[in-house]
Amino acid sequence: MKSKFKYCLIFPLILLLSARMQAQITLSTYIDAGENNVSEGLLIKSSVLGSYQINKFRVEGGAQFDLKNAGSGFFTGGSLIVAREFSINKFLFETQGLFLYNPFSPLIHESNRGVLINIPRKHFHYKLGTEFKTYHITNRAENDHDITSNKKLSENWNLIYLIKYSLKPPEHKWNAGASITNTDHFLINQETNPMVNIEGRYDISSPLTLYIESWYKSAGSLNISANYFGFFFRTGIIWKPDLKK
Amino acid sequence: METGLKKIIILLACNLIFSACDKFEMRGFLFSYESVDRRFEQSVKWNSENPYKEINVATDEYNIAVMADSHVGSTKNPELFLDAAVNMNATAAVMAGDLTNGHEQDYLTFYEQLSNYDDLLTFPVAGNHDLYFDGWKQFYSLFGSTTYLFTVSTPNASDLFICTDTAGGTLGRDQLEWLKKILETERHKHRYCIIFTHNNLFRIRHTTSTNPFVEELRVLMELCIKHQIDMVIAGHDHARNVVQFGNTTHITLDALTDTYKDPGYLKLTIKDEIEYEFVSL
Repeated sequence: MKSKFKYCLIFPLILLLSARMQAQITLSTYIDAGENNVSEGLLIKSSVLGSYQINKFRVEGGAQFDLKNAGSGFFTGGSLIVAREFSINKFLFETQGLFLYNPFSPLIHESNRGVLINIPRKHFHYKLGTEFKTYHITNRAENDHDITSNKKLSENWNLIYLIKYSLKPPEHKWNAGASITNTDHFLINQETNPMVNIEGRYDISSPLTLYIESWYKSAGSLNISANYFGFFFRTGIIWKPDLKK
Repeated sequence: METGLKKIIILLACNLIFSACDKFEMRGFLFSYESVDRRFEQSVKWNSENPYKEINVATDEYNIAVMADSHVGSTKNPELFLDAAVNMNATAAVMAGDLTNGHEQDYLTFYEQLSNYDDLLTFPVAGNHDLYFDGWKQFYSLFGSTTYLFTVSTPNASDLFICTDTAGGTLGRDQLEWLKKILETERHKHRYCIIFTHNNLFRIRHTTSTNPFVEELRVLMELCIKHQIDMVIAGHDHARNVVQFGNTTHITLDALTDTYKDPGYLKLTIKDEIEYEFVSL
């Protein structure tokens, strides 16, 4: 068992080191501050994301921590994305498989499994996919509240989408843009609940990029009776070292 | 190509926002006439002047008739529902939103129809369509609160029924606080607890109808488990659905509107257990 575990560690490590020259590591950390109808005042979340790209393959993982929120948990989100780039007749796109886990309450956890296609263009950026969301009742809830059955509830084939417009092309030193989407790093909303994001970024000096985002959430948009739900600001930093140097 | 796409998106957006038809008012995509917090504030004021109803029944078994999405205008099916409620000797008739299409005339028609059933205790809840065309003012002036509770006491037990306003796609901050407080202070005094609201919480089938934001849904699911909510009954989606999560049964009703192909309502029979029956018209 132990030797199996050793191989599991050694093999990817060799792969990583041997491919170091073609690889790209990206690390990012950000903080969210805002409020919404369920936050009971100010909410502050902190998140870290790391990705490793080798040739056309990319693996990304992340974790989200609630520093101040109405819920009782500290670790409130984990994500894992496996992606591959494709090019068909000069049409560049990336496919992603994703898994999100949200232990947002001691009584219920949420998981999301999905696939999507990611299409970055000079000024526009599109994402389109689908996901399967499952809410799980925890063992603690089973014991404390005498729940013996129906411990899972699934919402299947939820649409994932993003439409983003940026003023400048991606390689520009600074950029600003706006997007409408139902997904974020650790959250996928039902498709009828879009969020609006206005964002900006600035390359301070290679390899560091600073970014700021403002998110607005309006409930009931497709109810055709929109009501304020919440907003938050996000600021973060991306570290993307050039491993070829 | 991108410029053309931009023009099309702008044109479509303008068309949606500034257009309206008999049933929809697209300006609501961006602006509602009043916030859910404002509606809640008015409901609380109304509740302070009109105390929650405490209904006593002489038997251990009683019925409640529940409908949603009657969308008056036309009144054929609403009349069938009200007749059925009388015939089943319903202790209460709950109307879980989208009672009208929001027009003043719709409200007056429905109110006049209800006035023929004076002996029936009715409990209306606002839905998103009730708010269109500035409809909340009509709702409030004719029916009053949309956030309230009522209780039914039998010789051996007491049951709690909570009506909430999700017409704007969210409970809002103040109403959520109210709900939490009611559950903390009142739930333990009662045998069963049933919540009525307009928006169905879960997206079990694909439609364009909106559910609460996932963040709000998480809070509501936790409340349901923590406080042993027996049922959440909603409309909005126009097609019946039952899903069980933990000890809570989530029921979505068929629409009652005359234009729906398979209209119906729900009959609840409450005794030593809660039984429900979808009744097609």
